[in-house]
Amino acid sequence: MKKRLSTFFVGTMLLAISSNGMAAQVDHADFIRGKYKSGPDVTKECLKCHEKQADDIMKTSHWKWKGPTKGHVRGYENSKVEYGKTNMLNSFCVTVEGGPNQEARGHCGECHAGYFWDKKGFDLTDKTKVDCLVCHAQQGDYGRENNEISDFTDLKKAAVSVGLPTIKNCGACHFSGGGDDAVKHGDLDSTLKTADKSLDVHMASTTKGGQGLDCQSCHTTKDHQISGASTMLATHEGRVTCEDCHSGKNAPHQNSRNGVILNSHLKSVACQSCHIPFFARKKATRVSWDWSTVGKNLTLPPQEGRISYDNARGTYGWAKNVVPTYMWYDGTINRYMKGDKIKDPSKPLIFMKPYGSITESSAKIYPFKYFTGKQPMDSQYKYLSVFQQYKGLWDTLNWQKSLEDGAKGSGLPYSGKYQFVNTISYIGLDHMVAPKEDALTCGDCHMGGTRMNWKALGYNGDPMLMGGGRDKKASVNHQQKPADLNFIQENWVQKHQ
Amino acid sequence: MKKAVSIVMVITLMALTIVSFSRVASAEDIKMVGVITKIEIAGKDAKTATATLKDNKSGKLVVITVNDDLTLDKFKDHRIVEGDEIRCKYETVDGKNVSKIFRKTAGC
Ligand code: HEC
Ligand code: HEC
Ligand code: HEC
Ligand code: HEC
Ligand code: HEC
Ligand code: HEC
Ligand code: HEC
Repeated sequence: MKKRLSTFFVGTMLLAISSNGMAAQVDHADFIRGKYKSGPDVTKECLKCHEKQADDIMKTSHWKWKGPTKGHVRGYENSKVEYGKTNMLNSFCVTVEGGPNQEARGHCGECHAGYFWDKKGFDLTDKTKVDCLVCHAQQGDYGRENNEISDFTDLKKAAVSVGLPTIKNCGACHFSGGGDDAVKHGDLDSTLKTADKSLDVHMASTTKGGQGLDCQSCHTTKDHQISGASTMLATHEGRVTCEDCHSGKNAPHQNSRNGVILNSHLKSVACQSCHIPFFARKKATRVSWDWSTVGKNLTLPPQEGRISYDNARGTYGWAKNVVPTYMWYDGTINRYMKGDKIKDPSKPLIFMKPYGSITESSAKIYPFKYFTGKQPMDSQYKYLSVFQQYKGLWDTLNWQKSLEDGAKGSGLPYSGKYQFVNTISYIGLDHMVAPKEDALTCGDCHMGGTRMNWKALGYNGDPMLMGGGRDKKASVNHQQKPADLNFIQENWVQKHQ
Repeated sequence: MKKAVSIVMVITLMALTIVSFSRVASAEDIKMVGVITKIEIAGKDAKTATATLKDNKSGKLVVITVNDDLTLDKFKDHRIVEGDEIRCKYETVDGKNVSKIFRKTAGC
């Protein structure tokens, strides 16, 4: 009887799909029959029909928090070790590995597409721990708090409501990267949920003048491999470019005034540089984080209406409507990895930097968010430290203890002496594409325009005045030396495994 | 007579039920998830504040009174700001929606 029923349901469903074409949203009301007390209870139900999807998701960086570097990180082209959030550091909350048993994961795990990765020893082969709802639930106030299902969630309602991911689903994690709304990214924040065309021509709904695209319209997904690389992380499951859609017969500027001149830029200037003229346009984004002021009880006025000092976390800088920093980028990055030795702690450490230069024909000029940090490093061993913030420093304000507990969890030894070092990161900008009327125009870059720092980019001067771009020898400054990265790539994890 | 009595009884019973019903309703906690459209707080030393939330489900604006120190501090130092999405549990007392839980849906 049961079997016949489900065959019947699937039959009706398939009918529903075929009659409505590909865009049909499947109604799961008839499939989701049980009572659910926990997230894994729901997943078990999904697995009855979607075991393949669980197998697929378990191969992704959203599940493993690491993956093969695929040539994305320079110096790691032949690495057999997989990298990702699970074993990398950054200049925001820094690390997920703090705590004798990596207890920091209890909080960081809220952004894992799985249930209860709250310490070391999580079973990455347990299918029932995959969180399908975070990407697929459309109702029921689905959410987690410190790895537990929020008591606001109606699990049944959430499970019945599943559909293809919306901006809200992906945004549940990505809008709050760095620990809060608009912190990490200057181009991905909660304002996208209600964007109009002036904020984002693609993701604004059609009723608000946009194209109504979802994240996966660009981040095309097959077998749960979500395409798109981060400028801060090591792995990806395919790349995304503007040209994926805007090429061939949809090539841009065909009817534009100065269309030919605009197109002559495309080999050297990325679409994003002209079409994302400012970032953090609706909501201020964090532009600096100084951990060295933890416990100093400072009183600092808010910036752009947001908190600028937190006794447990340090000092923050905020900025709104910011002009990007322009850099050459060939799609690969230089990245500080755990254990790399810092050459000179008195100089800023370049945490992550796009790779490329005027002489590399595969590189183009892209816009970036410039972010500065200040965080602890080991004074003797000369590398960035892992420390325990959650259930550690944030409660105790005790650096010494939190550094010791960081070493225990990560296996990266701590000498007992620490100091603070400045860091610089360049974070990619690919979203909040402005309407064409707001694109940069000739005068923003040429004829005294200040957007391009010609010298820093390797030009002898404004190429419009020089009578040619990097193809013309006289325009290029061949004396330029590659930037000093201020670290020695000598990876601890690789060496000791 | 007997009939009249029973009618009275029924009416009284009904009235009682209604009364107890509405009592329950007003004492019950209401849960909502919504985005802050406005925070009003009277100065640094204020012991109370109001936040207007736009209910994600109905789109209605609900004014919440916040009295607990922890949340008030978060308003004061801009840890919670307009535009933040909040999970709120409140109870209606004397026509005011008094917050019992007021947490951001995301962030540390
Ligand atoms: C009784 C079988 C059954 C169960 C249980 C079930 N599904 Fe489905 N689901 C289907 C069928 C059939 C389809 C349509 C074919 C397909 O896309 O695989 C579907 C489609 C989907 C889709 C694509 C939706 C769309 O609009 O195209 C998603 C996402 C999905 N299911 C998620 C889930 C999740 C999450 C669960 C657990 C909460 C779940 N399903 C439980 C049978 C089921
Ligand atoms: C549960 C939280 C969560 C959700 C929901 C989520 N992500 Fe992610 N995403 C992450 C984390 C964490 C990483 C970092 C993975 C790593 O270590 O590389 C990531 C990485 C990425 C990357 C960078 C490439 C990579 O593999 O590191 C892209 C692009 C991305 N996500 C897009 C999406 C899209 C599109 C959606 C919605 C369909 C989505 N994400 C939903 C947490 C999430
Ligand atoms: C990190 C986000 C994420 C998680 C977690 C996730 N999915 Fe998906 N899922 C997607 C995306 C993105 C697509 C592709 C949507 C599209 O192509 O428009 C998708 C597509 C699907 C589809 C449509 C058919 C297919 O295979 O592409 C089904 C069914 C589905 N998911 C079920 C599940 C189930 C069941 C789980 C839990 C075991 C799950 N998903 C977990 C993001 C996710
Ligand atoms: C109009 C196309 C488009 C849409 C829509 C879009 N993205 Fe992207 N996104 C890109 C491109 C292009 C990149 C660069 C990818 C690459 O280099 O492979 C990118 C990069 C990213 C990154 C990495 C950022 C970094 O450098 O750290 C994340 C995370 C991401 N997108 C998430 C999302 C999420 C979440 C959504 C939906 C809210 C979304 N994207 C919608 C085009 C898009
Ligand atoms: C040097 C600056 C510059 C670069 C680089 C650039 N654009 Fe444009 N783009 C403009 C300007 C200015 C306009 C407005 C001209 C107009 O009104 O048509 C425009 C208009 C557009 C339009 C709307 C008009 C149309 O043709 O449909 C699209 C779409 C577009 N650009 C996409 C792109 C894409 C995709 C790229 C990268 C391949 C790109 N642009 C690179 C400056 C630029
Ligand atoms: C998934 C396909 C897709 C991708 C990827 C994509 N676009 Fe678009 N874009 C569209 C569509 C569809 C339109 C509306 C039709 C048009 O104007 O060409 C559009 C419109 C535009 C416009 C014109 C806006 C206006 O004022 O009307 C610009 C500018 C633009 N895109 C720039 C970009 C840039 C920059 C990127 C990369 C970050 C990008 N697009 C990636 C699909 C895409
Ligand atoms: C985002 C900044 C930017 C904008 C906006 C911009 N340019 Fe350029 N332009 C450049 C860069 C960078 C080069 C060098 C390209 C190279 O090295 O190949 C360049 C090169 C040139 C050159 C010399 C190279 C050649 O192809 O002959 C001319 C002429 C020129 N631009 C004119 C214009 C005009 C006219 C406009 C407005 C329609 C414009 N540019 C808009 C950045 C910009």
